[in-house]
Amino acid sequence: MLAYIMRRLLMLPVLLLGVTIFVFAIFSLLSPEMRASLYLQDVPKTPEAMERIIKKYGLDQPIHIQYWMWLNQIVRGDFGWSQTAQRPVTEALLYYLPATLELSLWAMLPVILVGIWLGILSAVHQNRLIDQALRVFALIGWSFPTFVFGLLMLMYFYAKLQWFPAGQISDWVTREVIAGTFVRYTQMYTLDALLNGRLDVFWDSLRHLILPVITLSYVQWALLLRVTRSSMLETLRQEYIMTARAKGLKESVVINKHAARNAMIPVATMGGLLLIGLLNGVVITETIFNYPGIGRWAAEAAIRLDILGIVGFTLFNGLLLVVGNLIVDVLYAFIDPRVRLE
Amino acid sequence: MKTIWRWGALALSLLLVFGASAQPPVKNPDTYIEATIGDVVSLDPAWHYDTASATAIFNIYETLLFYDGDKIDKFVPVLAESWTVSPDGSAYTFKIRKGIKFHEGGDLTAEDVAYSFQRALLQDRSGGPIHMLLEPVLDVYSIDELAKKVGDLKACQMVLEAATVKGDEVTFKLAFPFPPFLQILAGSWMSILDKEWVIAKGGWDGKCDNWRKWWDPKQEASELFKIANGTGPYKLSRWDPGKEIIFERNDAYWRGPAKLKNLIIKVVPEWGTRLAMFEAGDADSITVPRPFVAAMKPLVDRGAARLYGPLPGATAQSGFINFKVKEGSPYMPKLGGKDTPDLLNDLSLRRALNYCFDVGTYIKESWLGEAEQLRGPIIKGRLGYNPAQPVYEFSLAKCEEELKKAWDGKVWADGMRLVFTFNVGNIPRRFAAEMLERHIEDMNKKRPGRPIFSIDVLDLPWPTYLKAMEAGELAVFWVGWLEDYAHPHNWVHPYMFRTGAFAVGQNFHTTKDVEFKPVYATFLEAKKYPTLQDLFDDLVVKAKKEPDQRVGGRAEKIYFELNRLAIEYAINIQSIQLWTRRYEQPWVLGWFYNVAYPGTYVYWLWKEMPKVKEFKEPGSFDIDVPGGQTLWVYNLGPGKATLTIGAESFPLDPQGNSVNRFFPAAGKAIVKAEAATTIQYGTK
Repeated sequence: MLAYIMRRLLMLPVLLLGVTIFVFAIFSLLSPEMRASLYLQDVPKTPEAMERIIKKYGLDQPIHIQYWMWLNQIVRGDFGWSQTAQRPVTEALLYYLPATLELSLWAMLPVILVGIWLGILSAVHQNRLIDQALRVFALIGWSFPTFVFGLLMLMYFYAKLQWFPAGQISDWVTREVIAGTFVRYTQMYTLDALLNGRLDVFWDSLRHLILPVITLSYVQWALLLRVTRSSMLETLRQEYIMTARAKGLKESVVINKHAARNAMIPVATMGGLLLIGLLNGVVITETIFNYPGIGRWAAEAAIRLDILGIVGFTLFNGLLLVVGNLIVDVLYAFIDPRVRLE
Repeated sequence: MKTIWRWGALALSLLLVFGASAQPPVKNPDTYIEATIGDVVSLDPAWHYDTASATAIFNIYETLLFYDGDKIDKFVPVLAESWTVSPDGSAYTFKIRKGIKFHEGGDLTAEDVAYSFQRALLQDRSGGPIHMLLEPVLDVYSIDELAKKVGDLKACQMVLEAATVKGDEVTFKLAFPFPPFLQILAGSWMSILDKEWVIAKGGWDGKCDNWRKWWDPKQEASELFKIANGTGPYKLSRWDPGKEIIFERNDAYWRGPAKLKNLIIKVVPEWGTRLAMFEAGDADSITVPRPFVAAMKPLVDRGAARLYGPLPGATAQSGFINFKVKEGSPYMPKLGGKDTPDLLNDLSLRRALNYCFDVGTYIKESWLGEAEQLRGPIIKGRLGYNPAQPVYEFSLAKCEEELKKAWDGKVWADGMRLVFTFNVGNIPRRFAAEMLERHIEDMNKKRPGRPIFSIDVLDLPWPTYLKAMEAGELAVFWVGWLEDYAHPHNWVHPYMFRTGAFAVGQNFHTTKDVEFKPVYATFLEAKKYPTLQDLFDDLVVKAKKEPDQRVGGRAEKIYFELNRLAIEYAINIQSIQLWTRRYEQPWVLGWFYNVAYPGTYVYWLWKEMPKVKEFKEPGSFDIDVPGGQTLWVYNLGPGKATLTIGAESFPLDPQGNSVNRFFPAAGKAIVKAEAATTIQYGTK
């Protein structure tokens, strides 16, 4: 297994290099003028303004030279400046990632727990009313556009009832951060609140997380419900389940102890991939709830042709996918002893 | 099922626990929160050139002078105590106010003022605002252009000589008399910096030997990109790019501290989120794009939002005609199937395009009726706008008549092909282009059997569009202009001058031997110009140098001529001026509209529910204002009213502009309603 892990990790730099070449190659298809638009907010007010910008940022240089210059920067640990984040790329990743990580981790709780619970419930009551109702519920969630569901939640629970605000945190907490009375250790407000011993900040942060978490969960539940349900149905048809029932075990023990555990193997894989997916950035949810996450930044960088921002995000994404998939593979082998990583 | 109910009950109780907060009558009473679309780009006054940055800088820094209330042609001294203009109009001397401190503790001096001016000229970043200063001061559009002519050292020395200090006075010397200079000095790019502080932060050292080190910096390379130290009513507390910018009150502000302690401008790109914030009371004012004004109507109707407007804005949209398209352009016009670069150099054809354009429908459909047809390049409210200037009305009959005349009948006989262009995603411009396409192509029905009129409507990505426009490759294109400073020069220059942003792609010089006979500016001699561009240039320069800038004065008459010529030579396809609106919470008091303000100036504002006086019929009432307080009055409508303070009278149109007046001593204001209406007012 160790050799397998090492082999995968050694491939990582090659893969990332390939990704960056690919991104730069795509950008070579765009004219210098198109890329200069990143630096222009309006019609150029003087005739030579665009030419000056192209020359100043070296946008008329051949793309391989721009790539070489960028590689040289990387060697010095400088990933460049993201025009959309208005900060260095590394700093932008470190700024946006904790927010998305926090949202994703909180979202994973209801996604996994409720998703699995609904899947088991559905499988156990196969083809009965509760099963049909849950499947319809999941289908609606899967087909409901996130932005519509998110906006409905926002309009009702924020605009009308004023229970759960948009954004990441209330202004009074931001003022405490500025004043230094609240220290941000991890950049994740819920965790920082606990580390500061501040339950008021914890509740405030949680209030801001509830609507995006519900929005993300509702969409993901459908997927997890279907995977858990089919896995559970397959397990329930196994002979050892019949044996357990024949032994006269209580149905709850048969379901929870014997069936559910084995049915969880594909679910665990799915859960890992879901988390990776969430960390990639949840653009629509972050945008609707004005949540300063990595997805919103990456989308803006792509729209505005912020090449260094996109390269930074792509590198992070590549790293996340390779390492994340590796962890899922290892976990899979760990959960299911029949699987051997060669 | 019991389990489901248990979960449901738990969820409900969680909702109740979290949702326990009740909304107070005025939310966040000491903080003004604005939710907007754009993020600050830079806090360096000389570098920024966008509205979001200007709003932030406007609240932190101050200029020598500023607009007087809602006026755009009258100024009040701010950091200057007073100023004088030399008799020939080429030198401005400002006496600097004493006893003013920067946020970081430095004292304001005349040296700071000269340094701020010189630093801006030498920094001159690509695509930045400083070309506005360079034009009148050094008669160039970039400092690099000057340095290439006279050398780096000499260029810097010329900049130093342009702003000289004598005691507590600073004198700015101009290359030629330039009356809009005061408007330019009132812009946020001319905010006054603390020289010692900027140098300490790594800024230009005030010397000429290595000024290039600070020339044209990238956004992040400017030493003032993320920090600020002004003399204004708010201090920068924290800027979190992409999220928000937070300010705190400058308690030592020289005009007295602001009424609100905190100011937060949040970046909220999604409209639905901004609306939710407003409804929840978490935003005191939000940006409302025109397509969404209907969503705000219920809030306004039930008194949950205050609306100002529509009010005349500082933006215009126009179609532009290129008299001679560049050889090899993919958007080449054709006459009878042959490439004809100068197809649009024909006046009748240009007039036909104007007559065929249904400007009324365009305004109604594309701008929801919130725009007005212009009578030349100069917008309403500026010197030189001529309400009596005839314009092209929509008339298919006249369009047909002009098309028959174009190119001595060749266009009608042989057909033509034109490409109408606009930038991708711009729906109003697409509407304009497609509407005109339809009307021109409909003419084919009247000329059966002949080669057709073929119009292609093409959307181009913004950068490609700009490049093609600048290169003179586009034949007909739609674009807009947002005013930099409130003066007609900022309109006739881009629209008509040879280096203007749009004129550069229109090739007016293609029209030769132009006779000029003044109609309004009869003090100018009638003469013949080699090209139309020469005529435009001469008049633009004469108008900007003309010292008599009064209403009814000589400059106004020259601007009248420029408007007339723009219409008569049909250089555009209908220009329209857009209107604007502002929505705020009912508890925000003190705001008033000045079209030249870059954004909300929070110093004027405070938060409390307004006092209300309802008139069921015409009548009047008095408001007693204690000394040292500000009076704010707004007319909710539906009737008209007037506010009188001493000898001054202010119209109060329904949902129009409000009045904000400071009373140094106790005084009285009288509100007179002409019909049934509701007046909101407050003093603080």
